[in-house]
Order: sequence, then structure tokens, then C-alpha cells
Amino acid sequence: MRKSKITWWKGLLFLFFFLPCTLKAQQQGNLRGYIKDAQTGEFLPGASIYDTLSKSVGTLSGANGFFELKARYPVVLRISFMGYQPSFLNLTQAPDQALTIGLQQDQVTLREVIVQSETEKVQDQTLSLVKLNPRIVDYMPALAGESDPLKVLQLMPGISQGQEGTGDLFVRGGSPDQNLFLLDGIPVYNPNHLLGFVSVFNTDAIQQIDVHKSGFPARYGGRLSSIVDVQLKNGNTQEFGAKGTIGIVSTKLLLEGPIQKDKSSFLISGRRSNIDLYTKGLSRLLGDDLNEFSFYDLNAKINFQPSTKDHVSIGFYTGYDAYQSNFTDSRNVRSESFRVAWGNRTLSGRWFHAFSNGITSLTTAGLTNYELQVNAVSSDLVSDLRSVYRLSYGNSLQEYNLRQDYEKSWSKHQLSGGWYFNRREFSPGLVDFEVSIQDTVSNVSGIFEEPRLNSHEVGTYLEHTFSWKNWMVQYGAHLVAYRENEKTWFIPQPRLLARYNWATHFSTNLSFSRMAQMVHLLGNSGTGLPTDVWVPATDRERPQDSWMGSLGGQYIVPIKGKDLTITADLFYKKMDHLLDYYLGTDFFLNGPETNFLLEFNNSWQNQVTSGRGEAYGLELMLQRSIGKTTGWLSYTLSETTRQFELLNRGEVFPYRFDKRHDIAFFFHQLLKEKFKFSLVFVLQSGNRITLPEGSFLDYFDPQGMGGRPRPYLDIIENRNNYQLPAYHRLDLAFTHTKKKKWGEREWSLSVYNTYARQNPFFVYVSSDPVGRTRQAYQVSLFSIIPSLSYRFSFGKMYQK
Amino acid sequence: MKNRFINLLYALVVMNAFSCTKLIDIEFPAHERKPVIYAMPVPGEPLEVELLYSRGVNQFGLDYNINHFPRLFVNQQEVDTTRKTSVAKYLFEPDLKAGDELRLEVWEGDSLIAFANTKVPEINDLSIGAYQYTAPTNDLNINNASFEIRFPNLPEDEYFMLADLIKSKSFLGETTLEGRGSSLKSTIPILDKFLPRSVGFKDKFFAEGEIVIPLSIYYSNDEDVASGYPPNIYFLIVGKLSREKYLFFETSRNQNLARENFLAQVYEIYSNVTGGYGFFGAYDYVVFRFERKGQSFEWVPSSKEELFEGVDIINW
Repeated sequence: MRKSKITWWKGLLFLFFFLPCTLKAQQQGNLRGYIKDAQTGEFLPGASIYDTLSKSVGTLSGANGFFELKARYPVVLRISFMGYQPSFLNLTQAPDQALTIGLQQDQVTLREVIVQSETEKVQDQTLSLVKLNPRIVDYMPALAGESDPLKVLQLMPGISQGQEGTGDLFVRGGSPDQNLFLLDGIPVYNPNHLLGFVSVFNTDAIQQIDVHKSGFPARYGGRLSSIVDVQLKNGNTQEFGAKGTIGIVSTKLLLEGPIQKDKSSFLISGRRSNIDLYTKGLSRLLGDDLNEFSFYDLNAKINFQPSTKDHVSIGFYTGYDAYQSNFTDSRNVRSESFRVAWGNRTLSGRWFHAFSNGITSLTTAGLTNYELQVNAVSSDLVSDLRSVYRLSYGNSLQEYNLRQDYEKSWSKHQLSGGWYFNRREFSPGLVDFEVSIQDTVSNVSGIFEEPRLNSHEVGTYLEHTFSWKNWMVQYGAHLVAYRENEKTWFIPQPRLLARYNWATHFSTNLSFSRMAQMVHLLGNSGTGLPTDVWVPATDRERPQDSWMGSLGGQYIVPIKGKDLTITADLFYKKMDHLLDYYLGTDFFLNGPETNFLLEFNNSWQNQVTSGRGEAYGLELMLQRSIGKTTGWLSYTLSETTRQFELLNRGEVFPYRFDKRHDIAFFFHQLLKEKFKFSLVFVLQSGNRITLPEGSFLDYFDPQGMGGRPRPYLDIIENRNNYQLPAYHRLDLAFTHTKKKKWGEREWSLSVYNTYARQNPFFVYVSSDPVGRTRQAYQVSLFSIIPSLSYRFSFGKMYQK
Repeated sequence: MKNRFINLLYALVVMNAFSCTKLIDIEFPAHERKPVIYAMPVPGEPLEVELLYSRGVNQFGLDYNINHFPRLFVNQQEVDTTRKTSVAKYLFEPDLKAGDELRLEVWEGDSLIAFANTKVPEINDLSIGAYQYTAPTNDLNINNASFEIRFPNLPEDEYFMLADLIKSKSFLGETTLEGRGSSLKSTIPILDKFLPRSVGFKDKFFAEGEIVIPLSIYYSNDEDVASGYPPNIYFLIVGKLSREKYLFFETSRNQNLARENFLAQVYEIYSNVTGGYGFFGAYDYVVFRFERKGQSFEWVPSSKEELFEGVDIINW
């Protein structure tokens, strides 16, 4: 007891005499720095910087890994980022210059996906934000072994797939065209290779993917349903390295390294399909007609840091798909060749600058191009009627972008704002045809072009984020002025996101946003075909817009070392001014000839009807993202409908990809140091199709003119009136990693649809020639598909 | 080429050796039988009304509706049926003019089963614009005659058009120009593509309130001399459709095209019949006649009667 009293007195004396001195000695100031990957030198945007002493000061690194916070020294900063070991930094006084903090990649706690941020982070930037670490994509089971980040996103709550195997994203009842894919800030209009079975995003070159599906920050706009922000790697500033993959579908190779150590770097990543090699060989072997499908893509980027306050990068992407078919009949009297090719190109330049007053700016300039080209040649080789029929069709979209984003943080506030300008040039269709008959008089040719349309868009935004007691509020507005032809639209888009922390491990959040979209995608196949045509909003077909509200909560189960997170979200989305064909017309439906020569003559604007959509639902997710065993279980209960003036008698009907129930389970286990095992199980409601409800004789009666029997027409009173059986499958993947002298190699065995479930890829209704009797057939595309891929990497950076 | 696109998808299907197609048992939605009306009033022509029945998928029964009967009203005045031309076809002879409002009702005993309304369209004055003839200039001995037909002062509302190009005055007797060494060509490509079938289009494609149809006719002197053909007579029929007829034809045509296309969304057939299916849509048209005389072409004012001389109008 006596000893205790002395201790008590000592403590009192300490407080009385030294505490004021300590307080006086505390410094205040702005702490700035960059968060980087310690091995590769890559900037890490979105990392958390949190003062564990004050427990009230923290921020997230912004663009280029830059952060700034108001520190009261001493501070003990905890810096964390998904997939990296947390780092602690003890500072007793303000540093002289901006810090550079390197984080080590964490091999054990592979945080593959984070939905929302941890509660310890004071400023939670977004609600319902999915952050995807591309490294996990390689370890997940994949169709034909082709890892694809978009397929992983389809396992998230509120995001579902359309047709099996395709990468289209249907986010909270939206359609695929309502997702904005940004590649280093530049839009990519067609994110698909191989008709959607492979996405254009090469995981080797990707640093991070952020997907916003609600609570949109004010800086984003242009699409109704989601923003998929893909950030490419800058390239390693420390050392050279190479990695590659040889798989069934494609072969990939990536090279990266410093141009000037710590200052500048380069990255080149290329991919080419292997399918054409098989099909070409098979065609030669069998002496069959040539059917060849190929694709490639290339990412290139250089990055340099002229000063500690500046960072400049220039990126280039090009990707192309081509399908070639040559045919000559057995009698050698007719030959046909057909080629369709489509692709994206982007070019971007970005300049990040940190001003001395703590304001940062990011200037982005770039262009994106998407084009489709179809060429067909048909030749009759009969001696007395040697005719040649040539037809080419093309459509394209080119977009020029310029934008500046500014950001300033102080105390518990962050202010961001900016402006942008873009110009889009649409060429909805150009037909060039020629028919010539040798030795005769006919020679017809012509060029027909759907009127080209140009549109301009100017936008600005302002957003303020602040923390107050248990609240975090982010509010702002995005204002866009859009002009096409003589018509100008002004569309203000308010944004609000608020979060309240009820306790250390429990928070609720609310968001509200309006989004506008100035482009429409015309097509009704639902399979992400390249023949779908992008068109601008016009004076007749105004921009799409949506209102969306979301209410959710997050609970971290307080079991030490388990890191279990439960999230729930209720959402409601209302979409207006959607477009669909009302005459049942589209490129694919009618075939190019009729479309070119008939519908082409009848502008797309005459064939579309405007409507609205509605979606609401509940999303649940249980996730473990740290440890040797990670994964998540997600469930979405939702309903999505559409209503168009000239469809379905103007009545509401279910959306084709209305998935009432959608369950996804992902499990990842680090078995030993060398072995990884992962499992994916998906169970969801089937897609909807429209079945005929009856039939009646057509008005046109060819029999009366000596032709075939009078045909029947189908009665369709209710669109999407039939739901296909539930979709489910189980995928497995095993990965074995081994270190070599030269680097590392990995074998990955993937089994898609392990129990060979015959899910319907589509169902078609067959009929007799006049449509009198009907039978339904189901086509299942993918049964069990095992695949093996080999990955290799050279360089110290890959030696984990 | 359409098939090439579909083959592309099939190729991907086939590439997966495990894919399969199987017949599945689907319960098609239930259907209650309803009357189907086909009637297209044209000024100056008798009106034939056909009554049919709809039926459920894979249900077999009578397609021709003998249980119902039609009643026609022009500007709210009932027009008597003159006669029944076949098992379910009724003939009316109304005196129609532009702007008349028509109503067709289908009755079963004392009960009104279905009805539809339409209005006779007002067709604008048409004019022949630039006319040009080019004599043969090369060894192929090709003649080229070009015309422009103008529809001036179009109204601002939707204007649904129909165009037919017909060679010789009886299109049933001479249906095509193909293989004769001569051809018709127009910068409205549909006129090439679908000769001699009717083609509908909307005016919104055309700007500035005026439709111009440039028309070129190619022919070979040698060919005609060799084949012994008399001087050619061409008719161009340009009609104005009611919205009802236009939409029915477009949607039914597209549905037929889509029938075997597994990727296409199936679209409903447009109908303005309340309580049933089909269409009741008025139509009117004008006729242009081009006559080749020797080495030149002439536009000759013509009439509907001249076009259909010797042709059964009802069946047209």
C-alpha cells in the first residue's frame, strides 16, 4: 500500500509539472506524403492513414497515393491497404518534406475484395464501393482458365451476370450500357473480347479496380448504374521484371521496369488469343472452311516523377477482335468471305501536381475510340453469270476528353472539385456496297451513311466531406451541360452520402444520388455483341437519368482474429428515358443486309421508344478478408422492371435479366505455402424469355398468289413471360506456386461447372415452316470445363 | 450475312465439345381465343374485311371466324355490307375521302366483341422534279434515266409512306427486272432491294419537310432489242399509310425475320384492335407512270385505274 501511495504521488507530480510542458511541446501541422508499394514503387490510392494516438485523425490517400492530414504531434500512424501488411510510423515532429511510405505486400492476408472500408477509418469515402485486388483474380476458378476481373465482380451483391460466361455487368437492375468503364480515367466503350467471354481488362497490368454502385462521389458521372474505375500499374520504378501466362484461351506477357530508378518507369503488357491457332490448324487438317476468331490487346504506359510534387503518366491501350470466315461450295461455283472486326483504343495523359498549400490537382487528357467494321464478299463463279457482291459496313464512336480534378484536405474536412469537357463523334452507320456482274450491263454501287452526330458535354462538380462526432457526411453536386445539334440540356445531379458510427463495430449509412447518361446503346440481343450501336442522346431522345437511394449497415463481428464483416444494403433505383427498339428491329435481328439497306434507310431514331425502369432490392454479404481462409457469401433479393410506351401495350414488364434471387459463395484457402485452393458457387434465378402465347394467320397470304401456305404470326401479350430454370454451378481452382532461381512459376488447374450442370445459355422456340406448331429447345453452352494454365514471373519483385 | 453472324455464335458453341441442345418441355402460356381483323380502307376502292380467330400455341382449330360479323361506320354512319366474298370475308363499298373517320366493330349476336378506328390519310400533292436522261456512252450500251419525285410541304406529324416500283402495267404478269440485263436503281436503296414488293417507311428520315425519291432506270438497248421487248412502262406507286397499317406491317415483318433467331428479343405485333388482333388501317396512294419511248423516258400523268387495268383489285 505504501509503495502504491508513492506511485500515486509520483503520477500526480508528473501531471502537475510536466503535462503543461508536454502540451506546449505538441506541434500542429499538415502532414503530407505518398503511399507506395515498397517493392514496385506503385502508388497506392485509397490507402488508410490513421493516427492511433488521437483516434480521431485519419484520411485516405487520394489520386497517386497522395495524402494530407492535420497532425498534432506526436503521432503514431497506422497505414493500411488491402493486400498489404499494415505499417506503423511514429513521428514526434513534423517532417521537413513530403513522406514516402512503402507498404509490403501481404502474402498471408490476401485481401481480395473489400466492400466498404473498415470502421477504424474515420473518413469512409464511399458507400457500396467494391475494391477488387486483381491478384486474387488469378487464383479464382475461371472459364477455360481465363482469369477475368469482370467475372469476379459478378459475384458481388447487386451485380449479376447476363448470359452465362459473358462479362456483362447488370448492376442493381441496370443494363450493361449503364456501366462506365474507365481505364486510367478514359472511357472504354466495349469491355468485351470474344463476344463477352473475355473482358478487355488484362489483370497483369491492373493495379486496382474500384466499382461504385451507389453513393456515387460527385466527380463521377455519365452512367446510371455503376462506375468501374480501372487503374493500371505505372510500372516498377525499382527493378526490371517480366511475367506471363500461357492458357487455353490466350497467352499474356508483361514487361516492366525503371527507366530511371525511383524517377520513371515503363510497363508493356500484351495478350493474344490462342483460339485462332487451334481453329486455323483444325480447318487445314479437315480441309474445312475457315472459321477463325482472334483477339489481342496491348497496354503500354510510361510514368515519371519530375519532382516530389509532380507525377506524369502516359498510357495507351489498343485491343481488337476479328472473326473471319471463308467459304467455297463443293462445286466451286460460289465463294464467300466474311469478316467482322471491332476494337477499342485509348490514349491518356495524366499529370498529378501537389501545390505547396496542400491542394492537389490531377489533369487528364485523352481520347477513346470504338469501331466496328464488317466486310462481306460473295462471288458467283459460274461462267455465264460471274457476279461479285461486296458490302462493307462500319460504325464508330470517338470521344475526346479533358478534365481537371482538385482536392484539398484540412482537419476533418476534404473539399474536391473539378471540371471536364468531352466531345463525342458518332458515326452510327456507313454502308458501302457494290454489285457487279461481269460481261453484263449491271453494275450498281453506292455509299449510304446514317447522319453523323457530334455531341459536346461540359461538366463541373464540387464535393465536401467532413467528419463530426460519429458522423461522416459527403455531399456535393455534379452539373452537366450537354449539347447535341441545336438542343442543350442542363442536368444537375445532387449527391449525398452520410454515415453514422453507432459503436466501434457498427455503422449505418444512407446515400442518395442522381445520375445522367448522354449515350444510349441500341441492341436487343442481350449478349454484348459488337453489333450493338452507341448513339447519342438527341433532341428527340433525351439523356437517360436515374434517381437512386440506398440505406445500409455494416457490422464487424467482434471476434479477435476472425475479421468477419456483415454488410446489408437496401436500394431503390428509378431510371428514365431508356431506349429500346419498338419495331423489333436491330442489326443482328434483321441481318446486316436488310439492316443496311432497309432500316438504314429508316433512321434509328424512328425505330426506338422511350421508357423507364425500376429496381429495388436487398443485398447481404458476409465476408472474411484476412487470414489463410478468406471469402464471402452474398445474397441479393431484387426486382427489376421496364415500361415503354410502345412495348407490351405500355404496361410494366419484368426485365430480361431480372434475377429475383442471386447467391454467390467464394472460398479461398491457403493450404500450404505453395498451394492455394478456391471455390465458387453460384445460384441464381433464371433469365426471362418471351414465349408466344398464341398465333393467328398473317395478313399476307402467299398461297393466294400460288406460293407457300399462309404463315402464322405470334401473339406476344406479355414480354418476358417465362422464367428459365434456376442457374447454378460450382467451380474449383488449385494453384501450385514454386520459386525458381529465375523467379517464380505457377500451375493453375481450374474446373468450371464441376458437376456439369446444363444451364440454359438460351432457349429457342422452333416451328414448322409456317409457324403452326411449336417446340422449345434448350442450348447449354458450358458443361464441365477443366483447364490448365501456366504462369511465370521473372524478377525479384515477383519472388514472394 | 445474317447467318454468318449467327454461325459465329454457333461456332463458339461448337467449339465447346460439351455443349448440347435438347428438347425441353415448356408449358406455353394459356391463351383465350380472340377475333382477328384485317381491313385496309382505300378511297375509291371497295373494302374487304377478313375475320379470323387467334389460337393458343399448339392448339388446333378453325382459323376462320364464322361466329362473328363486322359492322362498318364512316363518320359515325353505318355502311351496309354488300356481300360476303368468302367464308370469313365481308365486302363494303363506302365512299371514302381524305379525313373520313372510320370505325369497325365485330359483333357476336348482340354483343360487341372487338373494335378498331382509323382515319383516311390526306395525301399531299406530289411533283416530278429533275428529270435527266443519259444516252449510252460506252460499249455496254447502257441507258440511264433519272427522276426525282418530290413531296413538298410535308406536315410536321408522322408521315408513313409506302412505295412500289413496278415494271409494266401488270405487275402480276411481269414481276422482276432481274436477269434481263436492265435494272432499277434508286438512292433509296430499299426500292432496289425489295422490287417489286411494297415497302413502307417513315418520313422522319427525310429532312426539311420534303421527301425526294431519286430514281434511276438502267437498261441495255442490246438486251431489249435481243429480247424483243416493247418499250417499257414503269409505275411508281407512292402511298400514305395510316399509322396502324404501318406499325402492323413493320412489326409482323420483323417478327417473321426473328422467328429462328435465338438471340433476338421477340416483339409483339402491333394492333389497333381493341379486344382482338390484326389491324384496321386506311391507306391512300398516287401513281406515277414512266414510259420509255425510243431512246428517252417520259413521265406520263396516270391514274389508279390505269395501273390496275386487268388486275383484280380486291386481291391486291
